[in-house]
Amino acid sequence: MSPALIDLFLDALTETVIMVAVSGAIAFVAGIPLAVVLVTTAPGGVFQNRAVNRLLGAVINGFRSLPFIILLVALIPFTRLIVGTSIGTAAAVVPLSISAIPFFARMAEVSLREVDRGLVEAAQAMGANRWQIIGQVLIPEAMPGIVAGFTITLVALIGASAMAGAVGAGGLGDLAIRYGYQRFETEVMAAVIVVLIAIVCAVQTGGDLLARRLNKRL
Amino acid sequence: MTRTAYSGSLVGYGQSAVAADADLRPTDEVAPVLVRFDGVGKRFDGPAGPIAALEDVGFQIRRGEIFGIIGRSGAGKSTLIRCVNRLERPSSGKVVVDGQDVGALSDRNLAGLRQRIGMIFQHFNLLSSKTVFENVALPLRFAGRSRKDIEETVRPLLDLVGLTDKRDVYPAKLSGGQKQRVGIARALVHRPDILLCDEATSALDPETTLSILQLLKDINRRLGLTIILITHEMTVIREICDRVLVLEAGRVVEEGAVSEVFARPQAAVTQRFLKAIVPDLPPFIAERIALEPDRGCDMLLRVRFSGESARDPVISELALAFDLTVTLVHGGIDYIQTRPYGNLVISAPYRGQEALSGILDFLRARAVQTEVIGYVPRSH
Repeated sequence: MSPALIDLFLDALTETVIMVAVSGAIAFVAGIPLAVVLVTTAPGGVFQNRAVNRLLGAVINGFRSLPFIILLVALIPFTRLIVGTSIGTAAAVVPLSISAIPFFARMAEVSLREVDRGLVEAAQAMGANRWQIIGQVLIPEAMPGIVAGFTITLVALIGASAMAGAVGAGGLGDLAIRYGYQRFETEVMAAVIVVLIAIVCAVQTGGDLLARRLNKRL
Repeated sequence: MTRTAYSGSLVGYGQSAVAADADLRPTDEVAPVLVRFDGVGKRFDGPAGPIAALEDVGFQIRRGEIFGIIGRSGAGKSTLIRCVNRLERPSSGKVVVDGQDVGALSDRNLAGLRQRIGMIFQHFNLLSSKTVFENVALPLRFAGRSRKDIEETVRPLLDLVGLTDKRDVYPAKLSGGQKQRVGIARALVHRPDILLCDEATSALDPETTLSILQLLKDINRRLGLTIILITHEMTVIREICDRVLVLEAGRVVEEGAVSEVFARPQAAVTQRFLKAIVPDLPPFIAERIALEPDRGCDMLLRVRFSGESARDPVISELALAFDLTVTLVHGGIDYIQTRPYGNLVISAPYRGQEALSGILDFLRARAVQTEVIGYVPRSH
């Protein structure tokens, strides 16, 4: 690869990392509260509320049923409203986050729901209020599973970010399409594939390691 | 031998038991009522309409008692014990704890009441993500206590349950008995008046069960804690309870002092429960078994052998070593494949607690599982 191409490559790598990191962080921060609402408003939950539970479940399912490439285009007006433009890396973060939030919320929901009901009951018997049960029992106990779910979310985001080139967001996927595919530069294609594999492996290994360290059940 | 003769001796036993009780706990008669159930009913919505878990349950528990509730699974025990700290709300009737109507408490007052009622569980319900220390400290953190305060409260409790060296260990590394000790320490951090035990020993092996029950008894004596426990095992009732209530299909079928209920079980369920711990004994013996020794009585021991010890002449050695007349009351030796398993009930004159522990040590040293079933007044 020529030095110019290497520069392009590094820029693309940076763009991918930024897109994934920022939308991942947003998904984490927004997804956990949604998961908590899903679990606690479900029947038998500490904030049991059938209407809220059903409505939120339906909204999440709605967003999850859209393929990312469609979401990317459909959200253009919304993206423009938030970042002022619908083109570029920052603009891609909006649809990436919107697609990752419900995905991660479902992942976290499963982990939260697997927390033994006996623990909630024990906390109630100790005189804990509902917020304490969420903050000091449900979330800490579900954390290993939440981290594992977040790892999967990040990997999915890396995949989705390859499509963000469609709105001029750059990134490794965009580079591979423009140079590797459209200009027949096989080297670039190969390099992108290798780097993507390396990133995914690193994210997965790191996530597994963290989840294992947090899991005191073994 | 006539039936009147036995009942005569039973009355004698009953009186002595009351006297012994009074010696140990002179305040028992006047201890104030701490928990009162008043016509408590609870219905759940089942697929085929409402199901009654409890119906018209009424009883009283006095301060300082160890009160046992026994029933088969599905009898409503769990629902009943959860009404005390309002983990369940009765559909009818009321529960009064220390003069407060539990059903009428505001959220804040309920939290206050729950701090005065510790609870331990069959499956311990410890947080896997927190160390032993953090688990015990959790109720104090909920109550917003300072770090220093927590440290000072938790340390002596870990000492009390014998887990000081495990303070920074996670529950996964503990045995069942140790986990329940953590549960007990956690239940005691607010210095409660009442301890609720929800099948607290049902997941433990017999030996660990005994050590946990000993700990509970010890806490009851030392801290004056009122203990309410539910169980499906009559041995638990026999081991530590002062009074027992028998629950069947959501209704109270029998209630009374443990010694009374064991001596004269009224309800069919109670008799079945008793049978489980004194199985197959001829009725003329089973009916006369007392839990405490009386002057000039025989003690009934269950001895279980397995493997090689079943071939040794343990019983005759015992008779020789202690100069005892040992009578075989019931039992036999089974062979499972080619290994002999013995299960005998023997009786011998009771010569005081010291002699009894000598005999138990002798048998246990020979790898024989031994258990005192009870005492039978000698027939004349």
